[in-house]
Amino acid sequence: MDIACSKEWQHHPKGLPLGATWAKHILVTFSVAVMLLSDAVMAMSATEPTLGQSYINYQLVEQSGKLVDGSPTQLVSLPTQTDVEMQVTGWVNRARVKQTFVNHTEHWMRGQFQFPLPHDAAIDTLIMRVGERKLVGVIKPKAQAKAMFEQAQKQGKTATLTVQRRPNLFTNAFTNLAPGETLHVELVYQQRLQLRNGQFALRFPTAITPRYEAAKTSSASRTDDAALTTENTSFVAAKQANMTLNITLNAQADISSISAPYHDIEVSSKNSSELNVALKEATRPERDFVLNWQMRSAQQPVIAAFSQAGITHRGLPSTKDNEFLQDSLPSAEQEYGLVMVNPSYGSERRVRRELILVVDTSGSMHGESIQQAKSALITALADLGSQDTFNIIAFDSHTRSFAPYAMPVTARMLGKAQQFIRQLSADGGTEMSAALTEALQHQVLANPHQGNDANKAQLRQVIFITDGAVGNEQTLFNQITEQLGDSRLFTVGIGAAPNGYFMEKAARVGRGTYTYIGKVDEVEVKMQQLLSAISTPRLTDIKIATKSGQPLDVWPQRQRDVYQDQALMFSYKKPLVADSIVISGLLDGQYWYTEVEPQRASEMPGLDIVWAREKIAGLMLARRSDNRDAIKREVTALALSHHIVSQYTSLVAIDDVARRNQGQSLMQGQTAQNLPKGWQVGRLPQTATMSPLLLFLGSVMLMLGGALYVSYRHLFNIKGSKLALEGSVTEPV
Amino acid sequence: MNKSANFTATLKLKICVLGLVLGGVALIISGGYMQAKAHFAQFLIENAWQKTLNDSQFHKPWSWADTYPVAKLRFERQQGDRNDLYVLAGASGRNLAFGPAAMLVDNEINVWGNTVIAGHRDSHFSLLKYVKPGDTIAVEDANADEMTYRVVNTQIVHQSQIEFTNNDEVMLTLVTCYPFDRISPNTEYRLVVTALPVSSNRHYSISA
Repeated sequence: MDIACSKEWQHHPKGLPLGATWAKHILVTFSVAVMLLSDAVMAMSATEPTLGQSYINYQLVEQSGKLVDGSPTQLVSLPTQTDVEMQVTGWVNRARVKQTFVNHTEHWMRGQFQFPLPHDAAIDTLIMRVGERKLVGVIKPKAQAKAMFEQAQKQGKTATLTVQRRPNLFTNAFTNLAPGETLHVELVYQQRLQLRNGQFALRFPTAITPRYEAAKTSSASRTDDAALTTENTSFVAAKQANMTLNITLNAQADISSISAPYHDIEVSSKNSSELNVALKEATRPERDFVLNWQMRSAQQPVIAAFSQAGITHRGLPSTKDNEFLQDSLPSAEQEYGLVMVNPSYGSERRVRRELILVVDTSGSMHGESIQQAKSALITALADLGSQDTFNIIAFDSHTRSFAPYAMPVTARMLGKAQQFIRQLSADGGTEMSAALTEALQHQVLANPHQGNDANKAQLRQVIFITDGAVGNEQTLFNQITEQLGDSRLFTVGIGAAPNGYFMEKAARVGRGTYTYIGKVDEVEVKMQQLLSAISTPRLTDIKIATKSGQPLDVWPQRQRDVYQDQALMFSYKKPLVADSIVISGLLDGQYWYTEVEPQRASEMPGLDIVWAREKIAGLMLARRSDNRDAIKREVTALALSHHIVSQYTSLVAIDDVARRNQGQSLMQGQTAQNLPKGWQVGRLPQTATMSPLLLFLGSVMLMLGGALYVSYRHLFNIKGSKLALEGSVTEPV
Repeated sequence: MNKSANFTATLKLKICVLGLVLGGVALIISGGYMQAKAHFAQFLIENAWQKTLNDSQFHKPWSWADTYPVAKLRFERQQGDRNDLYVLAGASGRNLAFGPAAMLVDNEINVWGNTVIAGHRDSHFSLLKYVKPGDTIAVEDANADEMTYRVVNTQIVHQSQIEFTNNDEVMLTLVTCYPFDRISPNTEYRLVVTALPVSSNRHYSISA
């Protein structure tokens, strides 16, 4: 097109002044290029799938016992109904989630539904209702449960299988659902609620991100070895899924306020501690349901302890005949319990602190990560009080410190520190070990005030900002354990997908917490939350034992420090004999000691489930290359005896009667849910470069230059240009 | 007067053409540099990988690198042509410029867990466009053990969907940006290729 334009111009060299015309020419060519470019981009985006559509993917899997290949696919929404009933007693939540699946097709159907639950939830009951029949699920090792499910499918029996994908993500598969039939799946889970910022928060995540299938690339089902390709795809409009929620709350103490920030709720109260909360209308599950409540503040530490004798699911045939259970079946009856100590009373008292900021400036932090890290450092500096001291350590292949030891907070010092932060750039290797030694050991020894009474009363907090791109994780955990001393290590994960496993575990070993920051605009809020949450430690050096010296299996095993507006909470297992539990530690720096006699709580069932879930979480975190098999055995045995779904165990429910004949085909479906608002813990790496764009723009510019050169060739020749000039002089203007 | 005006116009035109040519060349060089870097870094990484295979220790491909090769990927396409790629540790933007890189998750390549490898759609992983279920991919680890994986699924996900990265059984996941033929580097979608092991050829050292 530009060539045609330039030729035209050569034929009509008059009219506009020369300067203006070639400027116009550039403009035309550029706008053509831009149009082409934007057209290309528009065409691409039109083929991209839209977000927020839920669907079920039906697929013909089986016909006359054989697999059918290349059958057409229909994407239809699955009209599901979710009804949630929760019974909250104190700080234990027992939730009943009923899901309804309707098969509105003319085929027998198999389907899979993926759903999130709170990360500490333990599913212990599965009940399936088909027509009039009610079938209770049994707990089995994962592979066995899957085999049973597949066999039921072959036999034509209706079956349901609940599997844990991640600690907070589960799938519910069902098979042989008859045409026009409705399936009710009921799951019961147990969860311990956390006290945060002085209030209890109950969350129910109600949505997960949808999955998309490539329009062109084929998708395959993993249910059998044969890969099933889907070529023809048709869409049917998605119907919205509905949810109802009903909570009976018995707080065991006076409630001062209650709120649900994202949903409209209806609250009816029996008395000051017992409430009933319901969703005002069935809502679209696109956002976590959150319910917060606060207790009336007390004058003393509030201690509450409940116990139960024996396990909740007992005498079930499925748990008897299992090889995993032989070494773990409790010989005598055990007592399970849950203890909470809430020291949140009295006035807030800010403790002087020594804040050591350690920042990773290795090559992997290059780009947005180092900007986030710098912004986190600046936020942390702004939070310092005049009584505090601080230091900054940056490391890559080498370790560089802002100062040899922690410096007082003065305007001049802060200015210098900001200068130090500004000049940081990401390059080189990740020698984390040296930086840890510097932060945890060298600087403690280098401090001339070390050993002073004033210095002793100071709180030493190390905030470690990194993406965790390290190879020698185990060595580093050992090093932190050895060198920690009186310091506390808080990890802050930076970047798109930091090594969360490493940082979670490093923080646990370092007796601190792990904070994940995904975006630059989250840095300030999340850093301030972290810094204020850890500004006032209330209960430290916590020790737990039985009074008589009997064994006590406490989880989590190592207690973290309890800060202002938090509570100490632990689960335990002990022999079933009258005994009290002794908790000691430092409360606001003073020695503190208490004895609790847990009371039997019949209205609070499933305390053993809470304990087992907590222990499994602890065991999974202790997993290493050399103890994986041992941990797998232990977790499997624990999950089987307490009847809970885990990474290694699944719940399976199978109908007694075979209903689908061998000749009838089965459709496969998979449901996806509505798009949640901001429910994510990272993102996949960016895997496209500027390179094609640069090459394209470069070519466009070269072509443009070439076109101009061709058009005004005569001007570039000195002789020619003179002629052209002379020629233009002779022209009448 | 007219003469000098035209002379100025000519000069402006010349500057403009020169500017366009220089700018175009500069853009092509910088775009080409990325491609060249992606291509030639693989040779340096290959050397480091050879050392790793010899002593089972990880080696940096160049002294100032913040990464090291952890595996070798071999795409065995039905047509019979082969593509070898060296995988770096840690899928940071910088590493991805040099080669496909494994995300740091709780796993051990070819032993347990899901190995998630990301690569650029416009260089190393441009071949993922043609990967279909049934294709096989061989992964060599630092112990010189090779495991063959068969592609079972390809799907498009949103970049926030990282839940597939967690799995206890041995599996291989390859991730790249989608769609492939887009010029703009910004996209929210990723193509995810899932592969499961089919066989493992343990390489034992044989004294020559």
